[in-house]
Amino acid sequence: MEKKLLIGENEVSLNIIKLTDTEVNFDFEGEKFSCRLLNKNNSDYLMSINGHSFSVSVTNFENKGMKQIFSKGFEEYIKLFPKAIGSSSKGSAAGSLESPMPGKIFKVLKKAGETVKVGETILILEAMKMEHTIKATKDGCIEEIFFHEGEQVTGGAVLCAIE
Amino acid sequence: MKIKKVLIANRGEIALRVIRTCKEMGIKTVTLYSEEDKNLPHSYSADESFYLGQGTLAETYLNQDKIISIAKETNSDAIHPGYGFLSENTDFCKKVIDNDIIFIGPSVSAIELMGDKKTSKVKMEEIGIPLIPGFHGESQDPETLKNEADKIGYPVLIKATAGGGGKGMRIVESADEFIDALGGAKREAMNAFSNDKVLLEKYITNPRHIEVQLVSDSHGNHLHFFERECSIQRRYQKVVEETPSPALDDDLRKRICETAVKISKGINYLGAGTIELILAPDNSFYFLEMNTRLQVEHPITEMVTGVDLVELQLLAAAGEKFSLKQSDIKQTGHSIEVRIYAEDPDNDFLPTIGKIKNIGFSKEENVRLDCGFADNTQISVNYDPMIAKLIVWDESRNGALHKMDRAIDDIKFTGVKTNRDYLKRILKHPKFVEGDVHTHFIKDYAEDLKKIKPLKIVQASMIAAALFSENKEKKISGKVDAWKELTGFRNL
Repeated sequence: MEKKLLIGENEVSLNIIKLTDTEVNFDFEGEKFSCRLLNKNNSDYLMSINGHSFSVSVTNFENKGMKQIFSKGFEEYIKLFPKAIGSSSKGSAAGSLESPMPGKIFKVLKKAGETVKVGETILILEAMKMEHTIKATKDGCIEEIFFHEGEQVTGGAVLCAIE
Repeated sequence: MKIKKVLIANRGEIALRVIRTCKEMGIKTVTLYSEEDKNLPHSYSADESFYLGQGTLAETYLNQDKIISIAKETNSDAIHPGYGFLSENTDFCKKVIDNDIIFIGPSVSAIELMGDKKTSKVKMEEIGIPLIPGFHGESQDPETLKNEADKIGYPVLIKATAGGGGKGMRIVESADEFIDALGGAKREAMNAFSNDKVLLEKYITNPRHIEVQLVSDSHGNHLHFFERECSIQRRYQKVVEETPSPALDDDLRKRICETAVKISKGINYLGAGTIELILAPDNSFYFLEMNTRLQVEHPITEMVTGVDLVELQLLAAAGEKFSLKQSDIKQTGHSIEVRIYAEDPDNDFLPTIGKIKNIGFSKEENVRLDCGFADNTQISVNYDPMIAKLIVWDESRNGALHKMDRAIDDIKFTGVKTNRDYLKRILKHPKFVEGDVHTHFIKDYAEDLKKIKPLKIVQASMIAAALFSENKEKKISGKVDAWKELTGFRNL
């Protein structure tokens, strides 16, 4: 399963081979990592990665989906995209709007909870120095907008959900 | 006159700092809090607290009449203004005194004298304190200006008197460049400010910011508590402070501290104050300004001298005579303070907001966290972005540096983006480690101070933790039995 995420400003792609409650194996930038969760204490995860021990603290950040993570004296911000790439075609039908290409959210014009009609602009994406308007594909109520103005998005990232 | 109750006209960490000493001295305290601050520790840590309601700063913490009426209502004998806010406001100081309340700080005339850049410099000249050589005269004749520049010695800084933002400013390296540079500065100043008047100042390459802590009683005891090195600044705000300064040897330290005492004697100062100086690489130093209050960075002085500066402020304000003599005051070991700001250093230091989930704590000795927040409290945009000061002491500078690095790791301020990571980068910079710093450090080494990417395996540990935690959240949202999710419980 391929999964995209943002580490700080950088978009990263993972190939997750196995994911259970206590084990995750993935390929990351050409290297294989096999992690076992040994213990969890509040927000601290004690794990073993390729035989090395790590104590990692995770805090869900104020921005939806953003996690503040501390490991070995480093502080990072990781955002996991809500849906795995590859299974995204169903998304549109279900009322999700996806980013047509990688870019940056230039403007968010609607809020969660607002009702929209087909063709109404929900947000504007800036990509390759051009603006792309993301419009509602059906009438409904905006359930959630997953990004803030200024945030980077990957191509295919689910931007918002309409109910 | 004995002080029995102090009203603290401030908020956050400095309010808590004053409460701590008052408690030790058996003095009752009164604090004030605004609507936004109602969950912060200063709103409930004093003996009495008064709600200032919702509103602008002028309607709350700067509402002089309201603050004085609360002081009278609570029978407070004295008001401690902390730093910032009303601490250097002479109108407030006068009103306090007129209401027969002690103002914990210097006299109105001292605040007035030192608060004005012009009058303070005239006074310093009078008592023989070195000032940055310059020409502030009326004449704008190019030949006269050049003669003055030659007298000052190059490099010389030409500055538009109406200036700002670097416009109408030129650094002149040698005499033959002067006339051209003057023309350029004047044209720029005319375009920008419709006024081409300039002044000249000696340009100091790589200056350090050194300051000296002073406290005086009303019986002629003018004491210094050595220096603080505060060269690491961003946008004129200090970020890292330490004492002793790595730049001073015993002789220079003695000369600088004695100069500072000469100032407090010369103006017959009362209470705590700080002399800020510019130190040039050739060890010449010049008066910059005096802060007539307790400084944010006062804890490092307390760590190396063992004195409680707030206690001395209270004693001085009560008219007591210090039993402490200059020879009793010693500098022992090394102390560093970092200011933790809610800001994003990798995004132009823009302020951040949020709810602090967990501040964290250090288990080590001689680590002090002065913080006005508690877990689960909100940082708002309406007040200063400095959320805490982390202070360490160790026997050596090197020991203190390592201790600070560990302390920053322990004190995470989860839930909010802070400058913690950036502070670590400063502390690890080879020039900082050597003690080779100056006031443009952050600007000059901006490239070196950029975010460091952790090793790939560390990144992988972060990704794995994010995946585990997301997995767990999904479970919880569609969960059946909350008790099964809890670990670490056992029957006793």
